[in-house]
Amino acid sequence: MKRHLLAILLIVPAISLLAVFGASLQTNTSSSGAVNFAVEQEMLARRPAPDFKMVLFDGTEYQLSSQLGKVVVVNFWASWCGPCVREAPELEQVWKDRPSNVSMLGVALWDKEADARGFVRNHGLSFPIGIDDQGNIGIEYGIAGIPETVIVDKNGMIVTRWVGPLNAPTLMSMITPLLDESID
Amino acid sequence: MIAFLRRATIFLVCFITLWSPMSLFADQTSGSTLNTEQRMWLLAEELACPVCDGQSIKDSNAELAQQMRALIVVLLDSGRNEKEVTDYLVLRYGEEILLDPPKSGFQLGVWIGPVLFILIGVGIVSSKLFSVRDSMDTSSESGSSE
Amino acid sequence: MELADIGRISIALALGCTVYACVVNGMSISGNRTLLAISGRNGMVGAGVMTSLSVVVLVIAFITHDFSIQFVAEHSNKAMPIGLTIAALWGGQAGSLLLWAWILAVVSPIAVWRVRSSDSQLATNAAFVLTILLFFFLAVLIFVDSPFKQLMSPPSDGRGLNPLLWDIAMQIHPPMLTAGYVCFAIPFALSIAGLMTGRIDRDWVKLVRGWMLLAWALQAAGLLLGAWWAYRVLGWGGYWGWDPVENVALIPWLLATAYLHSAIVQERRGMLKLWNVSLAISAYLLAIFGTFIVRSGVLTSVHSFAVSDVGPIFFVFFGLLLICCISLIIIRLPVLRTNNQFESATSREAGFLINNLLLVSVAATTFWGTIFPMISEVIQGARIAVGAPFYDQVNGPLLLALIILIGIGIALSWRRTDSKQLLIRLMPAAAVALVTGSLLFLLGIRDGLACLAVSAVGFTAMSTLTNFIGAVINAKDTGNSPGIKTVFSVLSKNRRRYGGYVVHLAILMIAIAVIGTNMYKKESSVTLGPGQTTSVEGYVLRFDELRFSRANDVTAVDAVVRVVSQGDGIEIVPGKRVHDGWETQPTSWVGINTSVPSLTDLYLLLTGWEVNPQLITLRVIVNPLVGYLWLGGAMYFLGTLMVSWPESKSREP
Repeated sequence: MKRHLLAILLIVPAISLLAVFGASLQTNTSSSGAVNFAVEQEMLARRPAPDFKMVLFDGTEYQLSSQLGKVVVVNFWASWCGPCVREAPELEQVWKDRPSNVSMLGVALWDKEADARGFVRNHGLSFPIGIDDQGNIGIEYGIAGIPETVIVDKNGMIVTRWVGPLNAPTLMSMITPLLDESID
Repeated sequence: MIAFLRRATIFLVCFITLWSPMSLFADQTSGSTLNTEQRMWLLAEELACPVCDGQSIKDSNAELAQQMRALIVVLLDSGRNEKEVTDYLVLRYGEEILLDPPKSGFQLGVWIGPVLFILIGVGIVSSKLFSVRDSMDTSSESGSSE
Repeated sequence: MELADIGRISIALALGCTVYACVVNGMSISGNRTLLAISGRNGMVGAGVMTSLSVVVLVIAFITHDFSIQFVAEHSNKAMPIGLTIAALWGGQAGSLLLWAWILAVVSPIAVWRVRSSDSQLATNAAFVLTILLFFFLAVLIFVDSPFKQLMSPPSDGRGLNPLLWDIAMQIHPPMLTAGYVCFAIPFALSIAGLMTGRIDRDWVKLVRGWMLLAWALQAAGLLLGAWWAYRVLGWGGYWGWDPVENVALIPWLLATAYLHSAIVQERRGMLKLWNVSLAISAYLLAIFGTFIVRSGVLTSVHSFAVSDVGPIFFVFFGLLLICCISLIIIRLPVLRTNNQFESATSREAGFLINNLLLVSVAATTFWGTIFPMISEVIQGARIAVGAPFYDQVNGPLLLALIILIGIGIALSWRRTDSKQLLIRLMPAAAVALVTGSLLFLLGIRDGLACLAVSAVGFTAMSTLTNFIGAVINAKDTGNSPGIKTVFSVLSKNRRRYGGYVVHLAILMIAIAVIGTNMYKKESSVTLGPGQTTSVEGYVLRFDELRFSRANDVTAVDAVVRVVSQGDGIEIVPGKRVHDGWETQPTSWVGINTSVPSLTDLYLLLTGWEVNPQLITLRVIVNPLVGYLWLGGAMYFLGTLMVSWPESKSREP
């Protein structure tokens, strides 16, 4: 009797333990790359995009709320980040070919202003770019990795958060359906 | 049997009384006399830095951790309390930044686990320590005047 | 023939020897055939020699910069100093697995050979188990992750070692920890072998205890060196963060500590057989589990340098071992019955039992906290964090209770202690505790927990001392020569017991450091221009200048800071190092000044700087009493040495 009890007491936790480890091994191998993407997207999607104002490298001021009625692409990046180097020309291409009613903003995060300006010059980026030197915009948007791109629709709602580098076709395919939406 | 139960209960009560007030101590922070920066460091200890693999924003020197510490000071200065600051950050980074798991919801499980282990352990140990003596006691007692 | 080929062939031959030894030992178990057993042992020796050869080959490859071997190219370069080049052997996944297999291959035949003289059947069974374990590691090295994988086009120079690992502690810490993990295999194998032979007796406990002591000491060395490394290199002013990788290394140590205590009960009273076998087995299973956690990348950590694809295979290995062990224990349960029972709750054996309850509770809590994020992810799909606050709140009180228990336990006698006698014995200790507590209160420490914790330390220290003094007085009464000589004769007559006392005092010292740093650590951040002074946390600091230098592919920035509040101004130079090829991972060069005798550290970290105009941002941390941690660590090994020093043969009749 005591033996059976002990058997059950040992075997049940052992099997459940193994099940958990096996399962976590699986989730871990399958979701590498765009980690946490689904969770984050769920968390912040369909929420009003927090408003902010920043001074751009060209000296002008950019306020998110003044872009209502346009689809806004906010890209968080840094000069030291490898994937950002690959992403920069893609973003520039989208900016050059952009349909009307699309606004784009690059936010340099966790970076030094001189380095960020150098990056913009080297890659010949012409879309509006500024630096978030206090990191407040980054925290406001819950940025935990770079690059990350947030897409805000015409009504000022966050619709997509993309963790990791983007290419031009993917970005265009995310913007295009939003252009046809009406403004509430 | 009753004597065993009584002793086991006393053992259990001693154990828990020793254990529980200490966890109260651990939670306690004498908040009134602290300045904002000290309050920030205390709070920073309980929040994970989202970019640095399990380090708290108190321990991490990552840029994001530094910015979050600065922001916490700003938020505390603007009159928000610790709970509101924590909620502000949890809304943006998710519950995964809470290093001190809330004692509610699913995370309650992490707190119940140790309590369960210890209760089972105390049960086993007290049965080892008291059951035999119990039977010996009763036999000797029944042998004497009782 | 290239180096890589020699390495590969020697591992393959080692595997061959292991398979042979495993089969032959397996055959000799059933028939008790002595010749076969001897042949099996020789097979193990062969495996040990061949594995050693492959390690030598890899070391030669590192020294000669043979970048045609991928592992060498990825973890070293030509500019690295020779010591570091050899240490790069364990700077990556495949190499550290080779290290593991090598230590196991060398230790196993030694263990089997030593056990053989006292119980040959036990030795044969243990050899069988050990060869199975060795087989697994060698097979992984050949089929899954080989350190001798070659590159089609070798680079002209290697990538170099992660700059975080450029540290003296990193040259010793990983082999220590690996050796610790590996040595848990011997008590494990002896447990399984004992269950097979059915003799879990006093001799068995003694055999296992020796090997457990070794694993326990090596594991502690690994943990302490890791803490020392984290403190000086990671730059967060702490030494322990309840990080998953640290936790999984701590758990086997906790179980080994529990075993070393409960083994005494079995030795003296023949009780707790099932419990001791379970502890020895779990310690090794959890060591394997820890390796699985660290290597598979299922949990992220600041220490994970070697994540790779060996996760699934370790999972299967761990699962098989777990199921086999549980089944074996259940089948052999009748062997583990004991006749003796506890006579009193105030006896030394009861003290050991409660000690085990506390230690295993700490281990279980740590294990639960470590795996809970995985459970959460599997069940509710969201990752959550379980951090230091959880462990502090749950383990803190348990460890405090443990410290008090050390003091009480020492005063307990075997079988039964008269409670009046116990109170008298503990009187001086209680007085010291009371005095310590009130003194702290008078000194202005109003934190109840701090007063309680320090009083507990005082209590146990005094209880240990009174017990020892009592022994010395007793020895004197029985006509021994007085004075220092008596002290030494008492010490040497019961080295095992008083070595244990020294380890206890070392633990108390570590406890003092933990109380100081956990409760009275202060930190702040200051920005300074050249020549500017500032007052932080009781120190007056002046920033003198920034120095830039470059040597051996490393760019260095150093800030010269002077503590002007202390006499002529001690210089502290915190800085940053950027290694070529690792530009995104600058490492901190922490500036530490330890004041004597409080062993309080002023810990400076350079977090930012501007060149024009010169401006630095410093993180200033004051770590009270932290030096007692390292001192306690040294004392721990002194005690361990006392315990394990072989008894001189001449004295034994």
